[in-house]
Amino acid sequence: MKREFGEQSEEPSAERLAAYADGELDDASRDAVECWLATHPETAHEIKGQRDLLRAWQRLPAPAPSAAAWERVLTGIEAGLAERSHSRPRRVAGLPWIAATLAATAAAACVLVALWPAPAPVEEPQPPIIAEAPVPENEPFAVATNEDVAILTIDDEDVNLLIVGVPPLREPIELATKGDIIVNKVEPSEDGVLPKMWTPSDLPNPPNPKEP
Amino acid sequence: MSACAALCSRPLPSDDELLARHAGGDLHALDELFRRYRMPAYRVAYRLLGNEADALDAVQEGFIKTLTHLGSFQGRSSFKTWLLRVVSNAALDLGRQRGRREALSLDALGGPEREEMQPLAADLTSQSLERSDLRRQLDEAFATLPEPQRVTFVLHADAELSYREVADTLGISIGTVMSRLFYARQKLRVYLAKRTDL
Repeated sequence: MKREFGEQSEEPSAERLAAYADGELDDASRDAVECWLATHPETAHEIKGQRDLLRAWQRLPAPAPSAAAWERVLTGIEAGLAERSHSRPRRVAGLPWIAATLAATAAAACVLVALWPAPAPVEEPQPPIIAEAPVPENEPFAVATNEDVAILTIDDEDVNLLIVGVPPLREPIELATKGDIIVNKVEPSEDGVLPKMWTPSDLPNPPNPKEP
Repeated sequence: MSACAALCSRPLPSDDELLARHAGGDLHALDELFRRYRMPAYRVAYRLLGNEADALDAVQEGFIKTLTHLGSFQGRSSFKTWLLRVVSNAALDLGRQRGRREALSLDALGGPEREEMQPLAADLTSQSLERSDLRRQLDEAFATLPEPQRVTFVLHADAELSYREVADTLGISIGTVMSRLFYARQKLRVYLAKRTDL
C-alpha cells in the first residue's frame, strides 16, 4: 500500500526536497520533511549542501553596471520603441514632393552622365564606363512615385529634414537632353564628387563664335 | 501633514498604472518601470551570457520587445514575469548568436588557469576561497547544465522569483520548476565536488 507523504517511512520526492530547501512548502509539508530528515542524515546533508550552494551563488552577484551604462540602455529602449512604433509600413503625407526631389536629383545625374567629357586617350584606350552606359534620349526616366515609396523608419533627428507639403510641380517632369544644355566648361570639383560646370550664362565673357 | 510626508506616504504606482501612462506617452512611466525591473532582468541576462555588455543588450532588447507587444501578455501574467521571460529568451538567442557556450566552455576559461584554481572548500561559504575563483568555478559548473535548467535556476536564484513566478515566466508547472531546480543544484554540487575531491 502506498503511504501518504509525511508518514514515517515515506521518502519525500526530490521536487519536494527542493521546495523544502527553498522554503516553498507550507507548514504541514515542511514539518513532515523535517521529521523524515531527522532520521536520514545523508539527505539532510544534501539539503544543506543545496542551500549552501544557493547562498554561495547569491553571495557573488553580477557586477552592477554604471549609471552611465544604465542611461545608455534606457536611451536605447526609448529609441527602439520609437523606431518600432514607426516600423509599420505607412504612407507619409507629402510623398509626391519626395518623388519630385528624387526625380530632380536623378535628372541632374542623368545630364551629368551625358555631358561628362571622355578621358584623354592613352596608349591602350579603354572606353570610359560612363560613356558605355546607355543614356536614353527621350525615354521616360523611371522614378518612384508617391505610390511606390513608403517610409518605414526615420530617426528623430531627421524628422525636421523631411519636407512635407504640396509638391511644387504638378505636371510630369520633363528631363533635359544633351541638346537642351550647352556646357562651356567642366572641371573636377575639389571634393571629387560632382564636377563644376559652366554654362554660357555663368561666364563673364562668353566666347563669340563670330569673332576671328 | 507636511508636503514631504504626503509624498513619502504616497503608494508607488502599480505596474498596470505605469504601463497605461507609458501607453499615453508618459516618458517618466517608462523610466520608473525600467528602474523597477532593470536589475533582476540584468542579473538573469548576465548569468546566461557571462558579460555585462551582452547582458545589457539583452535587457534593452527585452524591454523593447515586452513593451512593443504589451497586448500579448496583458491579463495572462505580471509585467515582471513577462519581461523576465522575454529577457531570458533574448539572452539565450544572443548567447547562441555569439557562441556563448564556447565562451563559457572549459577551454575558454583557460587550461593553465584551471590548473591553478584553488580547490573548492567543502563549505561553499568559506572565506578561504577567493571570490573570483569561486565565481569562476560556479560559472563552470553552471555551463554544464542543460539550457532549461540554467534558465530555471537563474530565474529563481538571481531574479529571486518564487516557484509560482518561475512557472508563470516559463509557462511550465510548478512541479517542473521544482524538478529542474533540484536536479540543477544536484548537478552543480556533483560537478563542484568532483573538481575539489569532495
